[in-house]
Amino acid sequence: MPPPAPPPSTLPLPREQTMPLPTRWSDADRLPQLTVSADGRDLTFHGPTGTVDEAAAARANHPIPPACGIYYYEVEILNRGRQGHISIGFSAKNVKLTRLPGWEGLSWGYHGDDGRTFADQRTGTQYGPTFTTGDRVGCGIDFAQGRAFFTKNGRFIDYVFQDLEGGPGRELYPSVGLRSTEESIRANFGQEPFQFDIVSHVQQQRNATWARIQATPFKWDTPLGGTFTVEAVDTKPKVAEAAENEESANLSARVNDLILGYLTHHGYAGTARAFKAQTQAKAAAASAAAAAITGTSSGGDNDTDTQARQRIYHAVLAGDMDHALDETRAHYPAVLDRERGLMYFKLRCRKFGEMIIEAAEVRRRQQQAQAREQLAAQRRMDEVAQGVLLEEEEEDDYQEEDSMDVDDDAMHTSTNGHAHPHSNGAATTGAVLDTAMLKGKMKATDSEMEMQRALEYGRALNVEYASDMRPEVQELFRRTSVLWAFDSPREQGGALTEYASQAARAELANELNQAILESQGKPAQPALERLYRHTEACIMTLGAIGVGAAAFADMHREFLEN
Amino acid sequence: MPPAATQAPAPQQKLVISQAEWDRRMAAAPVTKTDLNRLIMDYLVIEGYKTAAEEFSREAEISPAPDFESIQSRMNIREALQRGDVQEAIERVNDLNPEILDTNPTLYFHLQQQRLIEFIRAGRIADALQFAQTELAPRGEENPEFLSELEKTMALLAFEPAATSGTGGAAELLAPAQRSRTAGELNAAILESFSQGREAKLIGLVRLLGWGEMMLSQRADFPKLDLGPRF
Repeated sequence: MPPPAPPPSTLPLPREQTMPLPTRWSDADRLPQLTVSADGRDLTFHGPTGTVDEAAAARANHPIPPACGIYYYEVEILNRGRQGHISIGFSAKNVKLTRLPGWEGLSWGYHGDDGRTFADQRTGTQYGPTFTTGDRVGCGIDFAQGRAFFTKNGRFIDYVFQDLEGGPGRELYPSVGLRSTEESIRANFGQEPFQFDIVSHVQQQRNATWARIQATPFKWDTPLGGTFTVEAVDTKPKVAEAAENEESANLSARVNDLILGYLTHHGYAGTARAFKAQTQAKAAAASAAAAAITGTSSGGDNDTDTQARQRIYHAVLAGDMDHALDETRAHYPAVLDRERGLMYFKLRCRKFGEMIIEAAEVRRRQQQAQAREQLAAQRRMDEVAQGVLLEEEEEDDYQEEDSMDVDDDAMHTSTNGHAHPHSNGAATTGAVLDTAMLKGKMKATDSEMEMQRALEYGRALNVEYASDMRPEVQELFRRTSVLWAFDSPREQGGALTEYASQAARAELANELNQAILESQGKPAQPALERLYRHTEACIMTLGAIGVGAAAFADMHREFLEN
Repeated sequence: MPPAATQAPAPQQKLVISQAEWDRRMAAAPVTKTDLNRLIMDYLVIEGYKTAAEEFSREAEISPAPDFESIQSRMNIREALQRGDVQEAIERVNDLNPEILDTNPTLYFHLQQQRLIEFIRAGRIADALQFAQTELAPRGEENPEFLSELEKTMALLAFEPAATSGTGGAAELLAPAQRSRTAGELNAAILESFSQGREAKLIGLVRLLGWGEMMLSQRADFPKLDLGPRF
């Protein structure tokens, strides 16, 4: 597939990256009359007490990311100076620093000398108490509501201002302005605990925002697929009750369809059958909702298909590639031809991999058995040498071997006449040892045969696809072949033997299931998954362009955590 | 506080997001099959699809398996209401946990109202009157909201028992949807008493989708969700 063309965006799309938060006053973005302490948190006014145009403001080093939902910082008044003309607030990037925040456009502030708030105003609006030396004033912006709020000494004052936005191109910075000699403040950008309980406040707002989102009237219009319409927001309250009934019946009918589609997609045949039966029974019981539900149950239509895909899925999951290949060939031959036999190659490559893994397993089991055997033989030799006989234990050993040994006959012929080897004393010791070695050799041959079969299969596959220069074909073959290099690829772990893992089986099983569905003209992902991903994309994008409410639509928290 | 839905769209140029870019964003959504399986299970449990939940727990190897017994008891209660057997539903809820009705006066009133509706539906007018006077009227006096509900319900007496086809406030009470509504309210209260969510998460997801698409379409042109002709 060619790389996707660059999006023809009229504005650059903001990247979803973690945005830095303000941490200190900017060294550059302030007037020289203000000094900034070494840690960047204190501001002190050194000039003479200024006129209205001789104030001095500073901005923080980073803008406030609206995606945070609610932003909050606190300021402690270290010294009210001569007049306490202190303004706490925020402003956009290029607002003049010779004026207190609130006096200029795109700046907002709460003033200590008169307790008024200013939003591009000369006289301001009555708002809260005045503040002075020793007070702690907090400034918050709630991007979900587009409003600001202030706190004094840990107490919430009120919401103020409106239509605040801080999206790309309109970034807002924490800003403080001072105007009289010796005024001095210290900011807390989260370095220390806040005086105000911002955590509970955010929690409350999050819940309120989530409730508002969930209460947004909404109707799933088209019977199947299509787009969504949101009803006019001002639904009249009296009609709303009936509409709400209809809406929720409609909604569950649609969700039932989504679920049935999902179950069918992933081959959960038994669940799909049970779910379909139960929804229909329920619908029949509540006959009003019935029409909506039975009329549109579209998934789960073809039970045989779902079951076949389920069998194939589980065969791949169990590493039984012959079964998977046979079933696929029988039910979905077209899948094997797709993309010039790519899926067919993948399945056979998997079979090759399974053969290598199996051969390695056989070899390892034998080596273990052999080691045990030799140890036991050695022990018997020692025992015989000491004249100690432990019949019972010996019997046990033999039983164990019998149950797992395919070469019983060979062994019995070789041990002919030594049914009770130990009873014959030292003479038998050599025979016991021989047996162990012989058995080891037999089994080695067995595992060699497995190896040989795998090798031949791999060679044939290689010959067949040698001229297929598709990178994924070549890479998959390499990733499979490398398994030869390991004693026990399945237990090895690490990147090289990833292909031997159960996860790799599951991945292929899913891929095959998707390919089958696509070959039937169905989408590769179930509608439910697409719906989830689409929603997430909406919310992420809303956050990135500065819609604060999106910050409180935490999908992971709401839907995936328990 | 303004409702989230009415917040003014930004007075700026709309973004245009291409299909390729949107696909990339969708692909980046951190969600797995296991996550979706759990969402499905949550729905099956909360909506009371017990057999399907049992099958799903097996087929999708969900662990830990949910409490199937509690699904069953909720379903028995819901079925009793759907049949119109309000008394049985109330008894079963009280067997489960008497606090549920004690602590939800509105729910209890709605159940009693449902009982009255069932008397009227069955044409048992004398019983209906008796029940309304002893059980419902005192509550209606306590609470103006209950009173208006009671008035609406009593207005049903003016209808012919068979004439349930009419539209409008009172006749709606006789519609099967009314039983479902009461049953849903009761189910939610029982779930809450088990400290479980009242509503299936999948429903919340669909609502969020509606909100997200609406908010974003005020600010950007982007590919709308098309679930295709079949799903």
